[in-house]
Amino acid sequence: MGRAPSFMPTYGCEHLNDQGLAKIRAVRMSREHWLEDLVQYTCLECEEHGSFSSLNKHFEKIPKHAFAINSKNVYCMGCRDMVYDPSLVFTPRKRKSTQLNEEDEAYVNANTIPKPCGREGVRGLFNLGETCYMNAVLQMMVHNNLLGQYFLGMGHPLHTCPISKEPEKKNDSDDSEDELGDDKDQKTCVACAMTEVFSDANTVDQPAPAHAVNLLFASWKHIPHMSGKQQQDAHEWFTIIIDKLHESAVNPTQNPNYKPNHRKHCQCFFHKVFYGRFSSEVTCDVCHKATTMEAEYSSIDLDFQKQKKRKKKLLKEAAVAANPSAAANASSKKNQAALQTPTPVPTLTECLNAYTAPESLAQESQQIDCQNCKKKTTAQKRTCMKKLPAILTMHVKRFGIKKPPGSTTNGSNGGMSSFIGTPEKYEGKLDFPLVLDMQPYTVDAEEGWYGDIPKHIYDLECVVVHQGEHAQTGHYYAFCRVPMGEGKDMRWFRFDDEIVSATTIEEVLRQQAYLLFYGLRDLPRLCGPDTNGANGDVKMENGD
Amino acid sequence: MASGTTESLTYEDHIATMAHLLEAAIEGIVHDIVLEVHREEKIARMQTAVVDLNIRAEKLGKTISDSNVDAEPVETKAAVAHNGQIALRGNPLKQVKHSRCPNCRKLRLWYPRVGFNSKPPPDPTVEYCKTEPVIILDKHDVHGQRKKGVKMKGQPKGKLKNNKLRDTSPASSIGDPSTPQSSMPDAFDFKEIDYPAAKCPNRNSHLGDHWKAVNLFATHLNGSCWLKRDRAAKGEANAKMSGTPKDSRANSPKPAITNGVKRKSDEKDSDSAPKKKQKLLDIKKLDKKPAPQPSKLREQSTAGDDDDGSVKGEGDTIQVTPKSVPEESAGKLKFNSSGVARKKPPKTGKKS
Repeated sequence: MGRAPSFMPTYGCEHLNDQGLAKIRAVRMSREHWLEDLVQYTCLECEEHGSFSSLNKHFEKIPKHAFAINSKNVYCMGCRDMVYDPSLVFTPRKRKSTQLNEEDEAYVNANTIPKPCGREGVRGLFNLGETCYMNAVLQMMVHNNLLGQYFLGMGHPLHTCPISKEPEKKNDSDDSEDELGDDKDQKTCVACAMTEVFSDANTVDQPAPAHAVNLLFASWKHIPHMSGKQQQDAHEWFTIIIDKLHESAVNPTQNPNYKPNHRKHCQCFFHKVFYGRFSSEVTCDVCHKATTMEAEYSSIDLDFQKQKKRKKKLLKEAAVAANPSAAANASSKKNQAALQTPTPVPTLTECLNAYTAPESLAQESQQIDCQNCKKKTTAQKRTCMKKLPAILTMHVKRFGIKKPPGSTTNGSNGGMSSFIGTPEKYEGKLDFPLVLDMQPYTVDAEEGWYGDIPKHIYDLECVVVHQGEHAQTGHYYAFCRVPMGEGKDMRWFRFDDEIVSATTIEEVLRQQAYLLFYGLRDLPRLCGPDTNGANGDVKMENGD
Repeated sequence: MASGTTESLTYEDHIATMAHLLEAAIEGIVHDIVLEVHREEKIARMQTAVVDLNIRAEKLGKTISDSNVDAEPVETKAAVAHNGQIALRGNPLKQVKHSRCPNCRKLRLWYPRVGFNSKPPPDPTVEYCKTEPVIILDKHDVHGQRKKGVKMKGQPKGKLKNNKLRDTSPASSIGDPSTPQSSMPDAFDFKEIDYPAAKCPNRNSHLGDHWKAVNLFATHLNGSCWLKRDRAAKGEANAKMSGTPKDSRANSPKPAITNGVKRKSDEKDSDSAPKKKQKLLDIKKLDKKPAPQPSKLREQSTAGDDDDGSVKGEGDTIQVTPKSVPEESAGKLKFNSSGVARKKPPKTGKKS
């Protein structure tokens, strides 16, 4: 349920009182066999159940029986309507601020302004000149609850940031009349700029879009090879920007022991949120000795082209098996065979299965140097998720290098190596689910639950789409879900730079996704009440 | 169901069971959807009842949370406050015919003002809560704004739609507007999204702060402000300039002149300062006419734009011309929802 809103009456209706509520709670606790999927309302006092009209008759017969309940709702005979009592509908919020004494509260009230009303969470971002790759990723971040809590809760010390503070002094002293280009010394902090974007994007009282000028500048400074006014790959930018955010969180200036490459067990916020670890186990076919390697990942690459081809082959075989006579004639009627196999749509789960499936390293080029056998041997490779992040990123491989027509034969590439293939984009749909269970792909499947909470369930939060036929040009836009209204129902919106428009879930699922962002469902419950803490120190041990 | 009895079930039994389960499942789904809407609406009305009660109490100079037993209860049609407790009277769905925002206490709009599913506001003179339903209208965002340069067909589509809706919309039970509907002005203002100016974060650049329209920011940073300020880049840009067709720089001053404007030293620096000064003056005169686009943008940007911005602005534009001229392509860019569009020969291995 959502937060408990203000301005609620003491009881859900005039017929409810404390005794009634206590009884409802008691009955709900005692009846364990609620059929949650079926609509059934049972009288609070007896076992009578049925439709509302039959219940009404029951209540008329016995006026003392006045409420019917199921596991979630209460029906009141007096109102002849569903009633929503604040104590039943809203779970009380654990808040530290409730401990504030009156004096503090008065101080807070005197120094803050109430949040203005406005359409929430639907602020666009200006395209600063071919910056749609950045905007699409930013919208994902802005609409993620966890990142919002981190940045808006001053997870990054904006005002005391050691990275961006130092050069400020320098600039002030020389009145920014510095003629010589010593800009190399001027540091700009990515996380500071990101904090600014978060606070801008969450401003509700004006409909005009926000802009991420400072972030663009910080990004250009920190990522020299992606600077300059040109189109970039959203996935590449995402991977690098979270790395830069990690650097800002680790803060090398204050951590003398910090080594840029030593990040094996980095516990910074961004590692918990974006980075998982996978282990790949290579087993020698001869001596069966297994070597395990661990590596971190910020996104899972999905080879949907491979799945598409595999599926097409399967479909064709199935068609042939089902109708062998037609297959025999297929040479004369080629079209017929083509008609029988429609373009298959690979699914995300198929890609994940392929990702974690055992892979045979049998070809000569793939063979390993087995330490035990002291020679090149064939082997089996298997990849498994060791740790899952709070935001799981799926990267659909849509861009590749088109091999020149001559090199299709997979053989000697002596003369061909100098030939650079042209980049190409793979069009086509990949079916992705709204809810993703990662448990089958993790190493420790038996530890998949925290009490009664499944810890590997992910919800789709954002889809980034690349529009355009070419690999090097095109346009990015994002679909994000935004909590709307009192009930905080998730509604989907399309964020296309400045223009934010409402869309439907069907439309989202119809997209040819490029990046998919899944958020861990039960994170708030896993983290406990500390998530609201201003330090953004979220406890997460998912999947490890 | 015990496994032993399964065999005795007939085909019809199976059918009946399946039909029952299917029915129950569909019933459950419909129930949940309907109840979600019901819940949201009823809670909104319950809150409205309490907000109304608060407003009434304030008018009477009382506080609702007053737990004094002797105090006279504050009451409205839908709720009553007594002894620090607020009780509802009757069903708020029937007793309360409007909805107020608990945050700002203003009336809520039920329908968007224009576009899909829109209805004109019941009373145009009333100020409603800013959390209005999102507008769903082609080429417009949720606030009813559209990109600059995007034209609507004829006059606002919404106008026609609204008229239709006005005729057909059933007289809703939600407070009928007292004013006759025909006289209602179609006041919805379809705003174009303006490009505001933003301060350039590159504080080391030239003289003090830069204010630039946000849509030109990449160009600005890419140009003389930050990336291409070193000599090599400038030389490269000039080399490209000379190779570009004449048309593409019809609107921009000659490259040689811009060199003069740049404050960074050049190989040609030896060519004496007075010469430059003369040229500078020349452009200033020339510029005013042939560069209408940038000046337009400057009007939209806030007053923070400094006086000598014209010269600097030109400098920026020129250097990027070989790649793309944003001022020229601005119109197309915006229309072409893609915001980026075609251009530049592909570079190796990088997609955008």
